[in-house]
Amino acid sequence: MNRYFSRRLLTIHILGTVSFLACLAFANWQWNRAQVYVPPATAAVRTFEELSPLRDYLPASSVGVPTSVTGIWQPEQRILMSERITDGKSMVNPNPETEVIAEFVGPIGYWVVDIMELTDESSLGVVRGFTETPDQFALATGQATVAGAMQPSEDVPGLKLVNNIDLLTTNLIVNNSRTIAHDGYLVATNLEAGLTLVKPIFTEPIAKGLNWRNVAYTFNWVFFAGIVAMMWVRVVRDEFEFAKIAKNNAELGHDNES
Amino acid sequence: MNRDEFAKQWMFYRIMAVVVGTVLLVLTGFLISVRGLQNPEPAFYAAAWTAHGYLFPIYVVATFMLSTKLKWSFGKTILIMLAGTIPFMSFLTERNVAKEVSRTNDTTTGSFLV
Repeated sequence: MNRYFSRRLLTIHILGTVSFLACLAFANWQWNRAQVYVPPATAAVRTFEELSPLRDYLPASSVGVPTSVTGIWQPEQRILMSERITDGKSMVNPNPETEVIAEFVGPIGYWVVDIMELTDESSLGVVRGFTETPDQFALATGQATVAGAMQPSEDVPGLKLVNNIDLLTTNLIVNNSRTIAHDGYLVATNLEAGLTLVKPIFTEPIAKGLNWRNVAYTFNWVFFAGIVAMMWVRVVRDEFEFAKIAKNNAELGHDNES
Repeated sequence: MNRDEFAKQWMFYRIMAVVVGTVLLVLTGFLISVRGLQNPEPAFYAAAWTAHGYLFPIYVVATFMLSTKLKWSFGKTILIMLAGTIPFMSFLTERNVAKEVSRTNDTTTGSFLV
């Protein structure tokens, strides 16, 4: 077989390609792992208008920031989110790539979500609280001022809840509103009679950050890829050198094996 | 390729084998302490593992460069590279390679120098 296209050289190329691509795949994996959410310092109270622009997505910087809003309850549009607990954080699946069935600690019941029509006639979904028995008491109606914190729609990328529970999404709120609705929902911090306070999923604004350790590992794999490429080039170069020597020897009538 | 160049590569390999072996041994001690005995992570722990992640490829390069000079087979080269990931193993392989180098030098002085 021709030395330049030998099976050995082909094996070297296959091994080189696979190892090089594997290193880059590992680098990519570490880079994805390096993207983390880093909670910044707790934010101060801000007005609802600042935090939740109408006809736009809820900014990540508005999430979890304390605020208050005034409007009129629309009790006939109530949404009951079942199979929930009071602690929103405990409903989050820490590993979004897998389905997780979690045994909840504490009572399982409903989040009572009411639509509030604000002074500008826009609608806002408000989690008023948690209850195991939603039919056994009446909640205040009419005009009210609610303090609380905005949360993103539960179908935002990167957020996954355990046990496949129904998600409280902007779509669901829009479908239950008569007027244009804000993105996300508000979790009330005022305690109403008969309800238990809901601890929101996000207590601080979502800020994207990098985990330096995984960044270091990313470059580690890039470094490895470089080394693989270097070894690959050297091995191939050696092969060609040997082929040249063998060819010269053959022309001179020497025995290649000696 | 001359004798000095080989001596440099040989020394490069020996230094890297000892450095990688020592760092790995120390880190394994801390790994047992942190994972096994549930002690808190020391401040330098994460940084030290990252440093090991960068030292190891340098050891791989050193091994590769030596392998081309000593005409090791592909399998042997890979095994010696992997020895850098097992505690104590890089010390043992370094000793074995040292024996191989001195044997080559004793019998056919300079014969491995292309």
